[in-house]
This record gives sequence, structure tokens and C-alpha cells, in this order.
Amino acid sequence: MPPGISASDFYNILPELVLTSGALVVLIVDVLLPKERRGALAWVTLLAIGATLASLVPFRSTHVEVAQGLLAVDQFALFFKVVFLVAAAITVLMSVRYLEIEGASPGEYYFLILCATLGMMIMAGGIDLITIFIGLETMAVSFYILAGFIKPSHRSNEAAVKYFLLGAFSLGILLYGMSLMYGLSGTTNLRVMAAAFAGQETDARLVLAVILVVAGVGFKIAAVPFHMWAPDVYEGAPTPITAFLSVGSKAASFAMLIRIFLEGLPSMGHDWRLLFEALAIITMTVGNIAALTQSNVKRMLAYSSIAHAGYVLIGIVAGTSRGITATLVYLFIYAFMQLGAFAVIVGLRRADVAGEELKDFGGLHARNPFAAFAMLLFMLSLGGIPPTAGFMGKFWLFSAAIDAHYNWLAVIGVLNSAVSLYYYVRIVVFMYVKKEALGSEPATSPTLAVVLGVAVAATLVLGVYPRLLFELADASARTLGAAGVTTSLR
Amino acid sequence: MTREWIHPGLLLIAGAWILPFCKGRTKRAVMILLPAAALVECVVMQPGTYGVVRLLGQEVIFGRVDRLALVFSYVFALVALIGMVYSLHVNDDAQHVAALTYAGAALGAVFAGDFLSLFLFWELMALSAAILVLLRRRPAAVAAGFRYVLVHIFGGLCLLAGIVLHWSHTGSLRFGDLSPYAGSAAFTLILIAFLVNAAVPPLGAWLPDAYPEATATGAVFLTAFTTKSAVYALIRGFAGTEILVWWGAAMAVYGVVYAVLENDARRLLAYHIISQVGYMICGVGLGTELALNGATAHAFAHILYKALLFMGAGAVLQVTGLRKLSDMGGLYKMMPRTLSLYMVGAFAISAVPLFSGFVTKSMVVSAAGESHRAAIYLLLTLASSGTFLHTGLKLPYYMFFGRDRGLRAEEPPRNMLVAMGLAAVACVVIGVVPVVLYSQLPYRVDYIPFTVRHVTATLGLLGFTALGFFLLLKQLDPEPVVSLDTDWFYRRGGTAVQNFAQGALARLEGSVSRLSDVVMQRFVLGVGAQLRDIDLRGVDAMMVGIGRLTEEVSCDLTLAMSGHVQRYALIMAAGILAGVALAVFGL
Amino acid sequence: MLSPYIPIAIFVVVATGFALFTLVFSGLLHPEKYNKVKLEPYECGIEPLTDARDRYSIRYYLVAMLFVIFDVETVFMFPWAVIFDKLLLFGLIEMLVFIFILVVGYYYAWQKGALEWV
Repeated sequence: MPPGISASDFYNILPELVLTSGALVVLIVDVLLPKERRGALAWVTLLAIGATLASLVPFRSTHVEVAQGLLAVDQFALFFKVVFLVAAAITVLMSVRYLEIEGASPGEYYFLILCATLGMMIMAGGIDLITIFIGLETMAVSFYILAGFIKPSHRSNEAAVKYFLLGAFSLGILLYGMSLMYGLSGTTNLRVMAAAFAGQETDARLVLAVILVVAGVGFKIAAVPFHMWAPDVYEGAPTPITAFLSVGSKAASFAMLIRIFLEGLPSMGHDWRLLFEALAIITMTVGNIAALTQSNVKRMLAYSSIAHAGYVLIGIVAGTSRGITATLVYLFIYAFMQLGAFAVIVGLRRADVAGEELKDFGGLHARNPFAAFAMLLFMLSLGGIPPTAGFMGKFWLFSAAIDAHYNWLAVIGVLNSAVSLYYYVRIVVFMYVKKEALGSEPATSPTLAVVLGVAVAATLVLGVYPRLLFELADASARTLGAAGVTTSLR
Repeated sequence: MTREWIHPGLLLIAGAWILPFCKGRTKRAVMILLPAAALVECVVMQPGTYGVVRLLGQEVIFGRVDRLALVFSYVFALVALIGMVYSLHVNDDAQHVAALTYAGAALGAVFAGDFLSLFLFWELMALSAAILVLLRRRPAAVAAGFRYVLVHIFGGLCLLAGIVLHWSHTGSLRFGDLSPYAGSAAFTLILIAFLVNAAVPPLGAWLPDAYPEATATGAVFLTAFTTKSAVYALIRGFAGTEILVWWGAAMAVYGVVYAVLENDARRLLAYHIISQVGYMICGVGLGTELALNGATAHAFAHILYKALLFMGAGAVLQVTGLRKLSDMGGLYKMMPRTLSLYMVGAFAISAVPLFSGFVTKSMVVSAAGESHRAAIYLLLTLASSGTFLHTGLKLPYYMFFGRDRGLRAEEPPRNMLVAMGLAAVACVVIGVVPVVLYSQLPYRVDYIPFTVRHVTATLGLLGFTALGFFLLLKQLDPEPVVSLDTDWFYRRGGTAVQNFAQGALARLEGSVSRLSDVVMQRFVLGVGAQLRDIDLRGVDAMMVGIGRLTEEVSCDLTLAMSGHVQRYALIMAAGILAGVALAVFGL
Repeated sequence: MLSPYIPIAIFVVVATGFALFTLVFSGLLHPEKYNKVKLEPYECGIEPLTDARDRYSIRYYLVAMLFVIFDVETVFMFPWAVIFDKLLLFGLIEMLVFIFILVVGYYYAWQKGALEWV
């Protein structure tokens, strides 16, 4: 073995290796399978995801660095990897019938989903700037292609091109910031960088680097004013991809954010905390207000997703271990609510109707009471009404903010929750009260029912008994601190 | 938890969901059994603390059972039972589920020992009540229900904000007396939230908005729970808060004044709820043992007689389809039983001796007198007079007597009459044997309602009010104006009135009516119209204005998404520059 | 003194010789069938002088894409070639894995018809 690499390194990246092999298998199987049996691809993909989840189990309490500081395999990364894999599995289940209606070829689709998941996993584990960048690029490029997957649809093409152009632009900004960080510290490893920056807070170049990295990361989490791509891309991309994007990409970007800022730049704390505070306030407000007058539900959920990024930023601004715990918990809960809501939209898709306008929800209660109830639950959860999981998540976030003496942030968060309830309840009203909209056979299928069931169960259970999740998230947040980084109050 | 204890509220909520799966007889049996079981459970319950769960490092107490909670739980369970009997004939499962959930949530709120469970049940109450309003399925009801949701979500968020602030300051979530924290932000926020639910003006416009729009059977449930659980919460947490005394007295008069202008029967009753709750809030503010007992007792009695009144109005609505007083009249021939049961409720609300209102309302008024608050005493008495005028006299007169319009009507279904009968019996029992209620009150009761002084004072008040009514009959007409047949009084009224009316009064009537033109028309009605104007133009317009502004901002934001990628990139670059500026000037 | 440059000199000679050899030899051996078209410069089968607004086949783009990918793969193999002796077996297996992943992609592209010219 050459110096710097050992056999245990390969063992530690077992999940990533399994996922890669799974992706390649999917690609090969797609070529070998005859056209009629294409449906089996979804199950192969699920098998790959399941195998990866299984391979995560031996690493429950590992806390190592791979290849002397490229990747970290610790509980924080594990938590996020579980989120990504579960989100990917749910997306695959959602896509089965959707792809049939759209007439898109499933082979590359599932492969790209697995690639995106792989990129996310690398982002969550990376503690070196280059590694994070590689993971980011992998995920981003996969999503560029996936966003434009429905080739006959103009909106899909537009979404892909816009996402690609703006993504490349912001990636450039991020890279510039990262290169400044490298130049000023002499290393790309975040932990070594933290030690190198321990004393120099007031270097103007470092402040510039922080701003640029905030901008680049802000793009990925769709924070205002870097959110402009989100509504167009969310609306145009295929609905399961939108779901995966809003959940997985966002969670991965937050993981990246926490790694870079809490592990790599803790000494610049008051700089980036201030920036994120401003970002959080503007993001929440703009996201919620802009969503009020949307008639396209996917676009509305895009704005709501932007607003939720604002809420999660509150937890990061708080910066205490409680704040980071709240962030992790909320991202987990958010995954289920968001995926569930989009699953219902997927269910409304029919051969002739896109199923994403508000009026398509009319009378859903009469047509499919289970889906209507599920959507009701997700809307209430997104709005933060007890006894759903969304309420627990928001409650924990806001109390973490108050705990860290950011009272105003919490107040603005609560007000924004109130405002957001308007457009969430509007959908509920449409479903239960308005008359039925006519159309052909909807895209409900057993797999979609499974998705809805899982999401509903998670939303209800986590709203009533979130203790397990809290403890897991807490342990994960603490591994961040145990790396020698302080996550204390301002 | 040491003993077996089933939360009666959870019993109702869980049981509600079984209902859609039953059919026919079973369903009706379940509908009656559930609240009956809850009532039995409440009655046999012993004081103590049950259902403690540890969550987030705090104790969440689902069953704080003491005398105050118990007395409220009795009446909630009882009215839930009465309401279910009343709605046996309704075929809409959703309404039953919503009503039972609502009742269960109210029970949950009453037994909540800490803020978290209180909040949980608070929100559940708001939600299920809104659904109950919505289930009338008419455009006006849908709009009203939506507004209900929004107002109560606002109240819920105030509550949540107050809870979180309280938690961060004190570290404890126990729901108890909050007066040590008077003046703090948490205190104010929680108070506002409770006042929203208690329909205190100016936060209470939702009540007369939503209650008349619900179904005949749904409204019975609505009147009972939201406002009274708010009263319970106020008794628990804000006893003795000075501002509530004045606010409550003002509220009592406010409700009566607004009812003057009302033509819709159930809306008039809804304004009366505001008036009666004003008494209770006044009692909470006074804070003495007698006052708190009075508030509790009045809440108990009020739930029952208000339910009875709404049941009566709902029966008329059900049978004739009418809701406006100007369209009704002459129903006494065809609905005598409804009328008599309704009158029991009307007497109860007017505090006629031997009915429940007499023994309870007077406790609050006496408490005001005992504390030497003359102004409050007078305001409350004025409101009593107004109450009798409208609910005891005007409403039944115009609904059942008045001009005979040849309406076709019949007695409502038997279950409705049975339910009304149950409530009427309760009103009378409490009125005749007040010790049945007094023994359940939280503090020891030394009060004796049946003193000579008290009875004669009340009868005098009622008598002169009735006199005023009959004198000013024409001015009290609901629009459109209708000429009334006063023969009825000569034939049916008391002998004294009969003799009086035949004599000099007939001549006096003419001159007095001209006098009252000045007094009533210009002064009282004018003031009422002014107040309504302020409400409409000031308060409502402000809300509408804020809503419009938000909508405009939202549209502008949407238009900012031009679709041009170059503009997006420019905005991102501008964001970075803003970040630089922030970093430079913000440090 | 000039000995390190000998391989380069050989290289130059071989390259020039190869070019000259093919030209001369084909010139000696070709059949004499004159066609105006044969004298036109070769442009992958399309006409060299056309209107600038002509449409190009999308397959050029596909082939160019695939070329770029495999070219970058080759670029990654250069450093390996340099320290081949230090990385030994480990390096070989690593590179084989890398090449294998790309071969899977190549296989996929092949089977899906991306390399079809017609």
C-alpha cells in the first residue's frame, strides 16, 4: 500500500462502494433487460439502496477519518446518509408510475438518482474542501440531467438549462471562496484549517472568502437572494425529482454548510452568523409571502421550501448543540412531509392533465379520501400544527433560538409560520370543500400508496413520539463538537 | 400513573373515529353512549394527578383533576351528551366526528396540567370547531369557517409564543396561576390568546360571525366549549387580574347593545354569549372566592341554558328554514313544546327566580357589590336588564308570537325535544335546588341566593324591563317594520298588565312612543350604529388592508421572477455585494 | 552531451518517415481513376463549401462528448504512467477499477446506440 492509504480506508467507505456498484449494476441491467421487463429496474434500484442502508449498520459508532482527512465516517455523516437513502428510496417508489405516464426511459433515471445520492453521501462525509466539491459536483450534475429528463416538455428543458447555468455560476463563486480559504490557510482539510485560522479573525480576505462561500452554499439551499432558480426548476422538473431535489439536495447542502462553517471556520463565527441571520430572516419572509399568490402547487411548494430553508437556518444561527440538533431533526422530519406532499401531486398526474394546479386538487376528498387526508396531514405538518411532526421540529428550532438568545428570530419564525398556514390550509379547503375536477385515470398505484403510508406514519409518529429521533440527532450533533470544534453561544 | 385512568377527552376523541364504521341503531347507541360514558367517568373521578408523561425534559400532565377542573368537566360532558341526543337525526357522520372530537378536546383542555397539553387540545378544539362550521357546506359557512380557522390560529400562535417565552423565563411548563408574572410579554400573550377564545371584544368578532352559519345541531356544540374553556383557563391562570373586571363589564354591555341591532335569531343569541361571558370574565377579574365561584357557576349554568336556547332557535331553523326574526311569527300554535322549553331557557338566562341563571349570575353581581364597585355593579345590572329584554322577551315574542304569517310548522323531531327537555330540567333543578351546583364549586359557598331582598330586586328589574318592552314594542321591531297585534297581552298577560293596558296606558302609549323616538332612535340605536361603523371601518378595514397589502407584496415578488437567467445571476451578484456591505458595516 | 535528445531525433525521423512513406507509396500504387470529387478536401463526409446556415448532424456532438470523456480518462492515466513503479499492484487494481467504471459507461452508450453513425 502506498503511504497515506490503508486497507481499513476501503472498509470505511463500504457504503459508498456498495452504492457505486449498485449504480453500475442498474446501468448494466438496463441494457440487458428487454423492453417489457423494464419495470424491474425500480426494484434493482431499491435493492441497491437497501444494500447501502444495510452496509451503514456496522458504522453506527465509528468515528474515523478516511485517507488521513479526506472523508469523515462519524455519526453526523451517518445521520445524513440515512436521510438521503430513505429519500432516494421514496423517490424511486414515487417514480414508478410517473415514468410510465411520462414515457421516459427508466434506466438512466434510476442510475442518476443513485449517482445523486452518492454525491450527497460524499458531501455529508467530506471534511476536505476538494472532497466536498467533488460530492457537490456529482450531485449537482446528476440533478441537472434529471431536471431535464422529460425531453418533450419545454418546461423540463427550461428547468434543466436554468439550473445548470445558475448552478455553474454559483459553483464558480463557491470555488472562488474555497480557493481563497485554501490560499489563506495553506490546507484544504477543514479541521487543519480551523486550527490555522484560530487567531486571525479580522483578515479582510477571509471575510470575503466567507461571504463567497455563503453565497455558493446559499444557492444550493435556495436562500434569498440566491433562490431565483428554485421556483422555475421545481415547477419544470419531473415531480419526483423535484421532491428529491427539495429534500436531498437541501439536506446535503446543509450538511456541507455545517461542515464548512462549524468545523472549518468556527473562529469566524460572528461573521457568518450575522450573514446567516440576515439570510434566514429574508428567506423566511420572502418565501412565505411569495407563496401566498401562487396557483401552481409545485411552485408554491418551491417557495415554501425556500421558507423552510429559512427556518432551518435559524437552528444554524443559534449554533449551540441544541441548535444543530434541531436542524438535523427538522431536516429529517422535513424529508417525510415534503416527499409526502409531492407524492400526492404525483398521484394527481394524469395522461392529459399535469395535476399541479390548485384547481386539480378540487374534490380530492371525494375521489381519494386517503390521499386527501395524507395531504391534509402534510399541510398541517408543514405549517407547524400539533400533533404533527412539523410542529415538533419547529418547536425545537424556535426554542433552540430562544435558548441562544435570538428571541427576535424565533418571533419572526412563528409569524412566518402563521402566514404560511394560509396557503397550506387553502389546499386543504380545496380538497375538502370544492367540487370535483374531471379528468382521466390518476396515477395512483400501490407503490404510491406505500409512499403515502410511510410518510403519513412518519409524520404522525414523530409528532407524538420524537424522542428517538431527538437522541439520534443530539448524538450526531455532538460528534461535531467532539472533533475539537466548539459549538458554543455567541 | 398509579391507577387505571382513562382520559375522558381521549375517550371521546378516539370513540369519535369509531362512529363512521357503525350503522343504524348501533350508531345512535354509540352516539349516546360515548358522552354518557365520559360523563360517568367524570363523575366518579377522584381528584389527583394522572397521565404524566415526560417529554423534552418536562412533565406533560394530561390529568390534573381538582374541583375546578371537575365542575367544568361535568358540564362539558353533560352538554356533549345533550348535544349528541339533539343531533341523533342528523345523517352526516363528519359532523358527529367533529363534534365529539371538539368535546373531547375541550375535556382535554380542562384537565391539562401543563401548557404543552393545553396547547395541543386548544389547537385541536379550534380545528374541530372550524370543521364543524364548515360542514354546513354553504358558501357563507365556508367563508365563516375559514375566518374562524385564521382567527384561532392567530390565538394559538399567541399562546405558543407566550408558552415558549414563559418556559424560557421560568423553566417550567406547569399551568397555574400566572399573576406573579403579570406585565411580562408571556403573560400578555397568553392572556390575549385566552381572550381570543373567550370572544372578548375587539378580538371576538369571530363568534357572531361563525355561530349563526353552522348547522342547527353544530351550533349547540359550538356555544358550549370554546368560550367556556377559555373562561376556565382564565380562572385558572388569571384570577384577580384587574383589567378583566372593566373589560368584562364592558363586554357584558357590548353584547347587549349589539344584540339590539340584530335580526338573525341565532346571531342575537351569539351576541348574548358575549354578554354572558362578560359576566364570567368580570368575576375572574374580581378574584374573590365568591366572584370565582360565581364565574364558575355562571359558566356551568350558561352552557346549559345557552345550549337550550340555541336548540330552540335551531329547532325553528330546522323546521321552518327561517333564521330572521322579521320572517317569523305565530309559531306558538304549532310548536308549543318547543316554545315552552325555549322559555325555560329564556327565563334561565334572564335570572328569573327558580331558574339557574338567578342563582349563578347574582353571585358575580353580588361579588361586585361586595367589593364596593358601584360602577361595575350598575353596568352588570344594566346588562341583565338588556338580556331579559332581548332573549327573554324580544326573541320569543317575535319567534313564536307576533304576527301570524301562516307559516307551516310542526314540532321538531323527538330527539331534539328530548335534548331540550334534558337541558331544561337541568336549568330548573339548579334553580330550585342550587346546593346541587354549589357543592361542586371550587371554593366553599356561603352565599344564599334566595333572600327576600334579592328576589324582590330581581323581580322588580324583570318587571320594569318587561314594562319597557311592551311600551317600546314598536321601536324594537326587527326590520322590516311590522305592525303588531297587542291583543295578545290583553288576553294572555298577567292580570295587572291586563288591567293596566285597558286603562290609562292605552292613551299614554301614544305620547310615550313619541318620547322614546328621541331616546331610543337617536341615542341608543345611534350609539350602536356608531360602534358598528367603527368596527367595520376601523378594525375590519385595517385587517383587510393588511391582507391586501400582503397580497400585493406577494404578487410583486412573484413578478420579480422574470424568467431571465441573466437577471437571476445579477440578483445573486447583488446579493453577494449586499453581503459584503453587511460584513463591512455590520461588524 | 546531446545524448538525451537522441530519442526525440528518432521520434522526428520516424514520424516524418511514416508520413513520407505513406504518401509516396500510395502515390505509386493507386489506380488511375480520376474524379473531381476525390480531389476535394475530406470533411467527414459532408460538403466542404456550403451555405453557413446548414444543419449539422447531432451525432458529431455525441461523438465529441464521448471523446472528451475518454480523453479525460486518458489524461488521468498519465500520472499513473509516471509513478507506475511506485504504486505497483495497488495502482494497477485502482486504475482497473477506474477504467472498468468508464467501460460500463462505454458499454451502455454503445448498446443504446449513441455510436451509431447512420
